[in-house]
Formats: sequence, C-alpha cells, structure tokens
Amino acid sequence: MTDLFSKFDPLIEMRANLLASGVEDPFSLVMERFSRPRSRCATGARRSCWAPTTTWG
Amino acid sequence: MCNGRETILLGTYNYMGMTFDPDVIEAGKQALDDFGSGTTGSRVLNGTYAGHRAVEEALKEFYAMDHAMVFSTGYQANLGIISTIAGKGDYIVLDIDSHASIWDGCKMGDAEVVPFKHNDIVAMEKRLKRIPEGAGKLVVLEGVYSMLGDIAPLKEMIRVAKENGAMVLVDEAHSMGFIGPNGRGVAEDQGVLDDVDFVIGTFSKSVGTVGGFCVSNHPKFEIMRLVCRPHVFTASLPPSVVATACTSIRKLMHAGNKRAHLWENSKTLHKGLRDKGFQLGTEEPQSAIIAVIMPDLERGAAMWEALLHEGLYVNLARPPATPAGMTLLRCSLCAEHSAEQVQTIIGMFERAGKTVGII
Ligand SMILES: Cc1ncc(COP(=O)(O)O)c(C=O)c1O
Repeated sequence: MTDLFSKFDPLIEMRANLLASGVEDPFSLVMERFSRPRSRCATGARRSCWAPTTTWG
Repeated sequence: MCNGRETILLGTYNYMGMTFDPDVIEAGKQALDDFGSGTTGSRVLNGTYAGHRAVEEALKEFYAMDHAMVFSTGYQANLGIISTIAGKGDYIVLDIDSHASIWDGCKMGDAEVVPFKHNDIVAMEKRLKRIPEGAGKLVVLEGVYSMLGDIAPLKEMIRVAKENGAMVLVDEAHSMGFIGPNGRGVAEDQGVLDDVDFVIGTFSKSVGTVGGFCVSNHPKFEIMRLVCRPHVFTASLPPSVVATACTSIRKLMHAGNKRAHLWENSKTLHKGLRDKGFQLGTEEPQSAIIAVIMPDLERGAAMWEALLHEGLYVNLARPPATPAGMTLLRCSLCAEHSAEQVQTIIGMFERAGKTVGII
C-alpha cells in the first residue's frame, strides 16, 4: 500500500530531532487552568503571565 | 415553538437528543466559569486547553483508536484531512454523492479526483485499477449518506480499496453515536473499523454541539496537527463547547438503550409512512434519516408548509444538494422522540399528504 504520510517523513524526522534535544514542544502546550484572564498554569503547573493571546481588551 | 406554534422537530440531526442532557449542559456551564468564553488562539499556539485534550482522550476511548484530532467543525475536519493527506500527484477515488466538505477538501489539496457512481463497488474498483502504479491513493466514503439515509456497503468497498493499495477515509457524521454496537458507526457495524485509516466525524449531530474530528491508528498521524492548515490557521473551539462534547461522548459510550429506542422510532416511522402510500428513499430503514420523495419542488414546498401548519418541522432538500434532481422531505429522528410522538408524526404526514394531493 502506498503510504500517503511518506511526504511528511522529513518533517517528522526534524520534529523528532528537536524533541530529542530535550526542549519542551512549543506547539503542544496545554493550558491547564486559569486564575485570571492573563495568567495561566500551563503543563507543569507553573504560574506565568500570558502575553501572546489576542484578547487585546 | 416555531411561528408561535408548538412544533415537533423532525429535521435536526440531534439523533441522540444530547443537546438538553443535564450533565452536558452542566459541563458547559462549569467550563465557562473556569476557562472563559473562548481561547482566542490556534491549537498549536495558546488554544489547546485541558478540555481539548480531554475530548480527544474521550474520542480515542470511544473509537478504541490511538489518535484523535479535534477541529472547529466537521466541515474543517474533511477539508483538512483530505487536502493534507492527498496532494498533487495523489489520487482520490470518491462516491459521487459525497458531502460538499469532501469535495472541497479534494479541491483544496489538488489531488486527481476520480468519482464513481453512488455505492457502486464495481465502478469503484474499475477507477482504482486505472490509477498509475505507485501513485498515492485515497478512497473516501461515507457511512450514511444524508440525503436518502442509505448506508454504504463498506465491508466490500474497503476490501476492494485495500486490495488495490488505497488508504481509506470514512465520514461517519450521520452514524456516530447511533449505528454499531458501540455507536462507532457503519464501519463498526460491518466489522471493518480496523481497516479504516481515517474516521471523520462531527459534534454537530449525535454529540449535540459543534466541532469535528478525525480518529486514526496510523503511527504517523500526529504530524497532522502541524501540517493541516484548517487545524493550524483557525481558533480552537471554546472551552464550554469541548466540555459539552466530552461529556456527551462519554455518555454515548453507554447509550445502548437510547440506540435501541432510536432504531424502534426509525422502523416505526419508515413503516408508517410507507403504509400511508409515501415513496421513501430506502426500501428498509437503514439509519435515523427517512427521506420522503416528493413528485416535484412545488408540491414538496406545499407539503413542507402543510406539515409546518400541522406542527411538524422537517428538512426540505432540493437540487443541487440532492441526488438525481430529487425533491425530498428529510426526516431525522431523535432518541428523545416518544413512541406516541412517532404515531402523531405519521398522522400529520397523512393529513398533509391528502391536503396537498400527494397520497
Ligand atoms: C457527511 C457530512 N460530513 C460532514 C459534515 C460537516 O459537519 P459540521 O456541521 O460539523 O461542519 C456534515 C454536515 O452537514 C455531513 O453531513
């Protein structure tokens, strides 16, 4: 069977290498809970200020 | 209430009646309080909340599959998966009666598109055999076709697709929650779910909210989260929506009694309408959609209006959405309709049909 995913193999490899270097995956962060509109606890329950949203107001 | 009149809704796709389930509503309210009204971001940036992960976990359990990816609508799920997986140089073989979102996904991905006659296994096989050796092939099918409410012979079609080296995508939008022993759809019912590479579904029918998804066992599936444009370049679903979807999906895992009642309703309505002399889209009830064929658009519209005056809402469907230029009154049943209501509906059809001169 032809694997339609094979076109993504280079990207899959690049991503695997990036994650293997030990960095946190920048594209799969989970917002676990909110204490007020612009701070949040992401994975690992650190509390942090939340700058990059588009809730400008 | 419609136009100030108490109205039975028989055209909503709310098959399992989850929209007013108290647990579902409570989950949505709680998520609004805890997470706010929206995510204001893409899934790959700030738009993945605990609830998005939770609903993907629920889907993986529901289907017993390794991967689940949630989209903002079912339309986007088809658009995204099809256009990403089958690109230039690949071939998509699909049923001619496929949903608009499937056709649009084909167009967006720029693959060669090869349609075949509705549910025709021989025609599908012929098309597959003509595809050049070594080219990527995707067969796209639906479990239930929503215009006539008929199901696909998935068992044979998937066997033929696999024999010819194709991957298979099945859109189970109108069967999820209802068809199959666990409500996983027509592929489960016909014992071929393990051979399906991608199942597409929606939250806008049995699940009772809004959203779409794809589940898969393919080991490379997770890369789709980064390369699928209708997933990346749009805001994720609001927290209240994923919370309601998650609760609803978990309840649908244990909804055997509701499924049985919905089948009873479908069978009763199908038989009742046939006995009254209406022409229906299928010989036997195959899903929770019963399509009543109208002689022409004028009488179809008159019948639709007469039913509304009786206190019944159904969908009026006409070309180009319908196959073979048909005008249809599409009835979609709900597990919350009582047996008495189904009898009332048959009476309403009879009176309206006689008024308009269809029976
Ligand atoms: C077969 C099929 N696929 C996909 C969709 C799209 O679903 P959604 O309403 O979630 O966009 C529909 C809805 O009409 C459908 O009937």
